[in-house]
Parts: sequence; C-alpha cells; structure tokens
Amino acid sequence: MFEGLIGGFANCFDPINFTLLFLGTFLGLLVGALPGLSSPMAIIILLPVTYSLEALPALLVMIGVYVGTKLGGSFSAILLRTPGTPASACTAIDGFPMAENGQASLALGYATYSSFFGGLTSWIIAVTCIPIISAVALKSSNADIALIGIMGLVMVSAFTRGSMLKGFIGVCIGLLIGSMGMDKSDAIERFTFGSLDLLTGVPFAAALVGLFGFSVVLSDLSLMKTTSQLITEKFKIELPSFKDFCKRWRAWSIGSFFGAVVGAIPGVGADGATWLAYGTVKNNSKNPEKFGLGEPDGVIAPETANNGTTGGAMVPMLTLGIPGDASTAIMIGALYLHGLQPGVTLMKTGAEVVYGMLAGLLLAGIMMFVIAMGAIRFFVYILRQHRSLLFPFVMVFATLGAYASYNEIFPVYAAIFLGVFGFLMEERGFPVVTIVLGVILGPIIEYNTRIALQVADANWLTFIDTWPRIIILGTIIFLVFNEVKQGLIREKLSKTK
Amino acid sequence: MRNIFLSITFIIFGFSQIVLADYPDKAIRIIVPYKAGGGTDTIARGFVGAFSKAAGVDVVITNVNGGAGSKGVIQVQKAKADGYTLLLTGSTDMIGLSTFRKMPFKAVGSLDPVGAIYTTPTYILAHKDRGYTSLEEVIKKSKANPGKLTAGIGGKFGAHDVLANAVNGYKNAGFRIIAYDGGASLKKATIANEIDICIIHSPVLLNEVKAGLLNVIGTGGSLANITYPKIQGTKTLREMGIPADVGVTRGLWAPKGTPKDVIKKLEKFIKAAATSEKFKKFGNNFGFAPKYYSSKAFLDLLNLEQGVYTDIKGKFMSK
Amino acid sequence: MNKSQKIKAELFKDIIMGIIILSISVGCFFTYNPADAPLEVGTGGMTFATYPLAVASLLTILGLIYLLSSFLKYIKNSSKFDLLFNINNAVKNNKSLYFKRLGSVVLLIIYARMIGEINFFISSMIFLFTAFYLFERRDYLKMSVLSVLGSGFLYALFIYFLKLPI
Repeated sequence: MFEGLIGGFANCFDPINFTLLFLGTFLGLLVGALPGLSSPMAIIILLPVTYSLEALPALLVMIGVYVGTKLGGSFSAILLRTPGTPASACTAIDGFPMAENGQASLALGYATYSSFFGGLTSWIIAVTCIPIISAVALKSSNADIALIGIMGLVMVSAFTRGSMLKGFIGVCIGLLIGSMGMDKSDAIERFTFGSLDLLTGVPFAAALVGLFGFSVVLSDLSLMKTTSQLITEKFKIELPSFKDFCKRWRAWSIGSFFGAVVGAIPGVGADGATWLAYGTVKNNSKNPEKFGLGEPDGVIAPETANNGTTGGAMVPMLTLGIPGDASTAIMIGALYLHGLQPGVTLMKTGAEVVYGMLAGLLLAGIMMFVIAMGAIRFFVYILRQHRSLLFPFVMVFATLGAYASYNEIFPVYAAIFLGVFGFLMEERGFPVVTIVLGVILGPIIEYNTRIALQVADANWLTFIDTWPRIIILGTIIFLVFNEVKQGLIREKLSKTK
Repeated sequence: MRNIFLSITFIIFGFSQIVLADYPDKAIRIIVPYKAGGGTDTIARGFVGAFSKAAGVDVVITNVNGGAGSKGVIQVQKAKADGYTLLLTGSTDMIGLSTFRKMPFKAVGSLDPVGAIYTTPTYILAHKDRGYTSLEEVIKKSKANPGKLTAGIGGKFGAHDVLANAVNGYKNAGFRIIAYDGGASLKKATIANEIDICIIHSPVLLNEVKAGLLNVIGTGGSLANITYPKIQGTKTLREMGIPADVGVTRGLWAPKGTPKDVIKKLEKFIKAAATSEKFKKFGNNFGFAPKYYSSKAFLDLLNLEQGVYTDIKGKFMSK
Repeated sequence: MNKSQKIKAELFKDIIMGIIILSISVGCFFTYNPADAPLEVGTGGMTFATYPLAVASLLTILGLIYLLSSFLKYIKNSSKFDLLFNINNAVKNNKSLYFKRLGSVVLLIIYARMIGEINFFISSMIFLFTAFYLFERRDYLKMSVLSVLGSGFLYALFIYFLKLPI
C-alpha cells in the first residue's frame, strides 16, 4: 500500500503530470466560481483534450477540476449568493450574509481552510481505510440512503429562520418539483403536462440556476441604488488565522465526519453531506440563532463536508467501479478510453494509475488551497464592482450554464420560470433554500424507499433491519422531537413577551 | 442543341462534383442522447478518434440527454440533412423509446441508418454466492416460489425489461422485476448481492465475471465475440426455447433525406473506423470485439429487433 | 400610509401567495397522471402516485393553515385596504425597480429564444448592453467596451473552448 502510494506521488511530481494537475485545479476553481457551470461539465469538455494524453495525466487533470470546482462553487455562493455547484448551495446561507457584513474575505478564507481540511481528512481516511470505505459503499443499501435522505429533510428547520410553516411549505414545493417527470420505478409520467421536455423532470442544473441564480438577481435588484457595491465599503482583506480556524474544531470535525461517511455512499454524495453537516452543527451550536446571519461555523461545516466527500467518492470508483457522483462516472468512462478496466480488479491491473490518482487527489487539495488563498484578493476585487455591471454577466453565465447542462434550450426556460417563482416566494418570506433541499432530496428518498421495499418484498420492517438503520431512524425521531420541543418553547417565549 | 444539352449536363455534373467533393469540409457533430460516462457515450468516444481520422475532419461529440434519450434523437431528426449532424445511439434504445412511449419518431423510418459499429447482447448475471450456474436452474426455482426471486434491470421499457418479460412470459418464471434507475445502481446492487439475477448489457461487469465474483448464466444473444473465452458458449435464450434476441447495437443515423452520396461517404468512413486497429483495441479493452454493419445490414437488424419488441410487448407487457 | 396600513398590504400579499400555493397543491391532484396510466400497486403498497399525492396533501394542509392564518390576521387588522390605491402607490414608488425586474425577465426570454438563431457573439453583446442600460447605467463607452469584451470572452469560453452547439 505505502510503496504504491509513494510511487504514486513520484509519478505526480513528474513535470508534465504536475503541471496538468495544477492547470486542472486552477480551471476547476475558475469554472466552479462561474454560476451555472459545474464539475461534470468541465470534465466532459476536457475529455477530448485528454485523448492524446496517457491515462494518468488525463485523469489527474480531471481530479484537479473535480477538487477545484468544489471550492470554486463556494466563492460565487459567498460573494453573489449564486452557488456555482449544487453542493455549495449550503455555503451561501451564512457565507453571503458574512460578505454583506463586510467579512467577505473572512468567509472566503474560512471556506478555503475548510475545503482543504475536509479534503485532507477524507484523503487520510480514504487511503488508510480503503476496505472499510468500499464496504460502506457496498453494504449501504437503498433503505439506508432513504433514511439518510429523510434525516436531511427533517433538518429543514435548520435552514429556516423564523416560520417553520413556511420552511415546510418550501420543502413540499421542492419535493413536488423534484417528482416531476418519469417515476423511476414504473416509468410513468407525472406532472409532465404531456411535454417531452419534462419527461425526465426539471433539469437539476436549471432548478439550481433558476432558484439560486435568477431569483437572487431579481431580488437584489432592489439593492442597486442603496448599496453601491456588492460588499460594503469598509472592509480590508482580512483572512482568518490558522488559530481562529482551529478554535472552531466542532464545525470542521462534524463536517469531515459527514463528508467521509456520506461521501462513500453512492447516490447521496456531496449534495446530501453538506446539508446534514450544516444542520448538525447548527443544532449543536452554542448560538444557533446566529446561523443564517453570518456565522463562520455555518460556512466551515458545509465546506468541510463538501471537499470531505472527494476521498469517499473516489474509493468506490477505484475499487468497485461504482461512481459516487456524476464527475466520477465520467472518470470511469475515461478509464475505459485509456485502456483500463474499472471494476474490482483495477487496484491490481491498473495499480500505477490508481495510486497516482490517489496521490493526485491530495496534491490537488494542496494546490487548491494555495491558488484559492492567493485568488481571494482577485475575486473580491472583481466582485466589488457595481451590481449593475455584474448582474448582466451573472445572468448570461446562468443562462449558458443551464443550456450546457442538456445542450438544448428548454432548461433555460425552466430556469427563468423557477427564477421568477423563487423570487416571489422569497418576497413572501419563504426561503428558497428549502425548495432546493426538497428538489435534491425528494427523488433520492422516493426512489430508494421504493427499491428498498421491492427488494424486501414489501416488508416495511426492512427499515429497521440493521443497526445502522435503527440508529438513523432513532436520530430522525430524536430530531423531530427536538424540533417540536424547540417550536413549543419559541411559542411560549413569544407569548410571554 | 445537343451541344448545349451536353454542356449543361457537364456543368451540372461538374458543379455537383465540386459540391459533393467538398463533403466533409467542416467538423461533424455526433449527438449522443445520453449523459457522459455512460456505456453509449464511452463507446462513442472510443469510436470518434478513428472516425475523425477516416473522415479527415474534426468530429465533436455532444451529449443531449433530456427526455430519457429522446431529445437527442429529435434534435438530429430536425437537423439539416447535410451529413454534419449524426446520431449515435443503441438500436434497442431507439426501438424501446418509440415502442413504449408516444414519440414523434419511429425507430425505423424517421431517420436514415448509416451503419453500426458495436453490437452486444444483453446477458444475465448472478452473484457467485447465490450458487446459480444456469438460467434454467433459476427459472425452476422461481417457478416453485413465484414472486420470490428478484431480477434487477437498469430501467423500465428498455432492453433489460424486454428480456425480463420474455423470460417471465415464455417460461412463466414469476420473477419479481425490480427496475433500478440506471446501470450504475444496478451494478452496485449486483456486486452487493442484493438481487438474485441481474439483467444488463454485456460487457458491463465483465471485469467482475473474470474475477469470479459474478457468474454469467444466460444471454439474449451470442457471446461468441466477448473477450472472455470461458463464457463464449453461454446458452442463449433461443437455445432455451425463448424466441427472442435481445441486445443493443450502437449505430449511427443521419437525418432523413440526407443525399445518397453523403451517406455513401459516411458508410465508407464508418467502415474504416469500425474495423480500424484503434477501435478494435478499444473494443477489446471494453470487453467485446467490434462488429461493423453496413446501412442495409443495420436496417435489417433494426427491423428484426423491432419485431421482437412488438411481439413481447404485445404478449406480456400490455395491460 | 401608516404602519398598520403597510402591514395590511403585506397580509394581502400573503393571502394571494396562500391562494397560489393552494392552487398548486390542489392542481397536483389533477395533473399527476397526464398519460392516464393505470394505477398499479407496486410492492409495499406504493404506486407511482403515492409519494407525489402524499406531498400534495401535506402541502394542501399547510397551505390552508397559511392562508387561514393570514386571512384571520388580515381581518383583525383594523386599517382599511383599498386594492387599487395600493397598487397605484406601489407602482408609483417602485416604478424603476418593477421595470428593472420585468425587463430582466423579458430580456432573458428574448436572449434564450435567440440562442441558435442569431450569432452568439452578437446576441450576447446586445443582451449585455441592453442589460447595462436597463440597470440605469449611462456611461456608454464603458458599457460598449464591456459588452464587446464580455461577449468575446463568452464566445471564447463557450463556443471555442466548450464547443457548445450554438
């Protein structure tokens, strides 16, 4: 194992490989920061470019992009409230308020530290516990995933400041939007209004770009006259110190935990891990009421989880040939194209490439940290410009990002529609974040519940069949109980006022 | 008069030669109606290098994966019939779409098939821990306990579904068919031994078969060209008495009305690429030796497969 | 308008939102099966309609609670509410904001429609320039330069580099 890794590192320091990894990471940061463009998209573009390369350099570029976009997405989430990638949506909740309070560079700094740390811990866990992670990936069945999804949903109250009713309404609408299209088990159309475009539902990129991109633009147009800059005047580049970061150990350790564990489960991935991390950190925090107003822990938790899923997603890809998310799925295709055979034998037959990729994963994390820290000034400068200059560009990027997701025009119209709808809901106090939560988690929960029942032959007891499931179910019940209690206490307090 | 007639003929002939001699003079776009990283996409990308070399121009792959694979087909259907936009997808993917859903296209007749490059049957796998060695054995067990044994497929209304229903229908097997949301989920469920049998396109999971983790217990078509000699003689459905061939052949289509000369040129390029060393190497790595079909052979295959689908749908899949 | 009247106007908007939410949730019951597929009970008693209709029912209940509570608060509020007066007032006070919002949406729809029809470089240039103008910029030189440079960058990124089929 270790000899393999050392060999892998040696390969990565080869000048061509090193340069390509660096370029990939840089590109990933840039692409991730543009609202609408995502990691799979960037990797697909690079595929033809990599044909002429050998297997390892080609995959190093992709790994660089993969790692880079995870942080890049958070930059635009913090500075513009338009997450560049779905997993960064959670970072916007506290990241953007921090930017509004003049703490933009602090938020970006925390995000960079957290992403690096999350990537580092997940790498260590991945490399030392490959068999365990593979086992988690393999043994986690549909029932487990369904329960994890429900757990994420129950935490919705963590994302709603104020009215729980509005939070739940938002989630329900999100769940309904997510159920549009063909049912995954019976392939029967639902809510498609007979349209072929909606046959596979609302394109996810369109939902994200619309609800988080266009609706933000529409909403913040009201700020165009009052605040002349995106981020308030009195600020200076103030980066968090390493000690500050260490003080917030609760946030990043919870984040790493979720990233490592949930990241290994194919199908849930970063999208689920970030929400769970955020919710858990908030619930266990000493000052939960600060969350949503610019609390650094609210940036650290999801960011650590986000990059924390990289190790967990790569291990099943390399050891079992099972992709953890869209980006790793493309990497599997790339492995075939370069003469390798992903699957249970890859660790033996393609050991050099596998170890090179694992080494590259760590190096990409380091490069991402270095580049990002240096780039914070640059990003803050660009995004200090007046909204009237920035917003048209955001709109164009969002439009093209939606277009590029399916290479046709329908997702753009869907995004515009959802943008208007999301804007109207935000105006009435319904946090758009809850709708996105519903759109992400709804399909996961429904599909996995139905498959779990089909495999278990309609035996609902399958959901308490194993210890992990019992634990998750117990956590869910506890969370619900907790929420009700909190709600009642809040009612009492507001009545006595 | 005759001279004028001849001159005009020569001018037109010469002009058309100039026009046609120019094809192809810019990049060709191949539309794959599935997302990147999937089986069809990987085969397309493995093919594009050799195809580009044969055609002498850049060839770009665009994934248009809306509408469960239909939006890509429709985009090509509506594209200009000048040979610069082609569709690459599986024969039975097209047939499945138009047979089971209301689509604005038919698998045969709406587009011009130009040739096929890779044909693989759908095969049936079982985890080694289940101990099954043949499909007949599993069917017997399932018949004794109807509804108890599970057969995983990668999605409804596709080739896997048709095979499962053919087995259930013709042999009265009584399998509980579980439709997963794609190849990746099905792969995971199979490796994790969550289902009794797995119906999936070969050569997916061949790696695991070679490693001894999974057994191939049946197939919807001949496995003679698979790169693992041990399973090349697996009994096919027809040999077991089920009148169905199920598999998928990836091929290329051009919009209807593409000029015959352009199609002829495309056929030449496709043949050169499909039989090239480069594509053979890719195919062997992927698990199956490539096979080339001319446009006529491809059309015949499409008609044959459409027949199977219509038959099985009519007998076992309509309410 | 005094504070109480403002609150009443907000409550009125809440009521409208409540009605919209209810129409969505009730509408679900009519649109969940556009292909008229038979309701086949799958294993575990779940059909393709179980989940969406369960969520729609929950949404109906929540929507009703929201609507009723807003309505009750509205009635309890003693101020008078004149719809037309309020609309006129809102438009008068926020004319430029509403115009910007509406304009953005219209501009986006036109831009989307033009993708593929008009050369991408030109359509992006027009979009950017018009958007700058819509957002009340009048420094025409800077606007023009940015529109051209911006479109150039976009063209390079999306058409040349990403090879988008536009």
